[in-house]
Amino acid sequence: MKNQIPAQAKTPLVEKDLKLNLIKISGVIIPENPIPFFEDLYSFTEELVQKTSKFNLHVDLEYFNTSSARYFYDYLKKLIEICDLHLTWFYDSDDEDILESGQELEELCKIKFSFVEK
Amino acid sequence: MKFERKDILEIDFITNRDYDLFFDTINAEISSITNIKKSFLKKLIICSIELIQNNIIYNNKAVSRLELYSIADFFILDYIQTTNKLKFQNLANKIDNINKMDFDNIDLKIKENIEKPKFKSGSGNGLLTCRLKTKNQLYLELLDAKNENKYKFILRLKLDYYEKSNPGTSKNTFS
Repeated sequence: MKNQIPAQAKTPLVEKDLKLNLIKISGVIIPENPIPFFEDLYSFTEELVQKTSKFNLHVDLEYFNTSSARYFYDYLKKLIEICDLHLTWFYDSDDEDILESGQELEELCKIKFSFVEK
Repeated sequence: MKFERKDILEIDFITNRDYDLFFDTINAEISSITNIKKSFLKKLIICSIELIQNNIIYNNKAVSRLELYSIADFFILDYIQTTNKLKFQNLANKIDNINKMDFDNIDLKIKENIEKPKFKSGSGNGLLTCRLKTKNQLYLELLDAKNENKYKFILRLKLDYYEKSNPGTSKNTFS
């Protein structure tokens, strides 16, 4: 079982920690066509979600394009349907844009995110 | 009093490779600008990503140029490209509509496009996001129309460094 999806020029590093039931997404999500990345991400996540009801997702992004927002939302919606999702959204103190992106998704997903300033 | 234009950077996108590497290029170039708040540079990068990816997704990676310059307290992002008459007119209509919206409506529209997307690719939120991030009108200027397939234009974003909000009217010319 692979434990990470390596970062590419327009997609982030995704790491899995089986002990903590955790997936961490870090870097940028800015592909023009986000579908292949989010399909990979969902398959990668599914392996872990099947083993546990409580699932931790850490999101630590630098950039996140508008094309990806709808697919990220779909990904989170699917997770919310099948597990108890605990999402932690990391942001830099001077990065109001990433904080706002997280707050926007939180509102759409209708679950509480934990926001953590780095 | 007349303020002078101060050129900051110019980046040309010509080949597929330029577009493949566009993020690394703009991130490196814009992040290296000195004496500007990091949060402001980030807005410039976010808007540049959306402008360039609109070209990639909707305009077949047409040859383009990104110019950044300042006039007094304003930073101007000019994205110059060529398209056909129909796409230009569609873009002009879209910009007119976006400029007529207030920021609360833009925010609602962005959420609606995420929740109930209407497009096969893209989200339809790129220009809406540019208007929201710049807190300003979007400007479109036709430079040249040699024939119906060669409409050369500037899509211009104007960012106030001191972030004074200027919702303005729906005029889409820049002066």
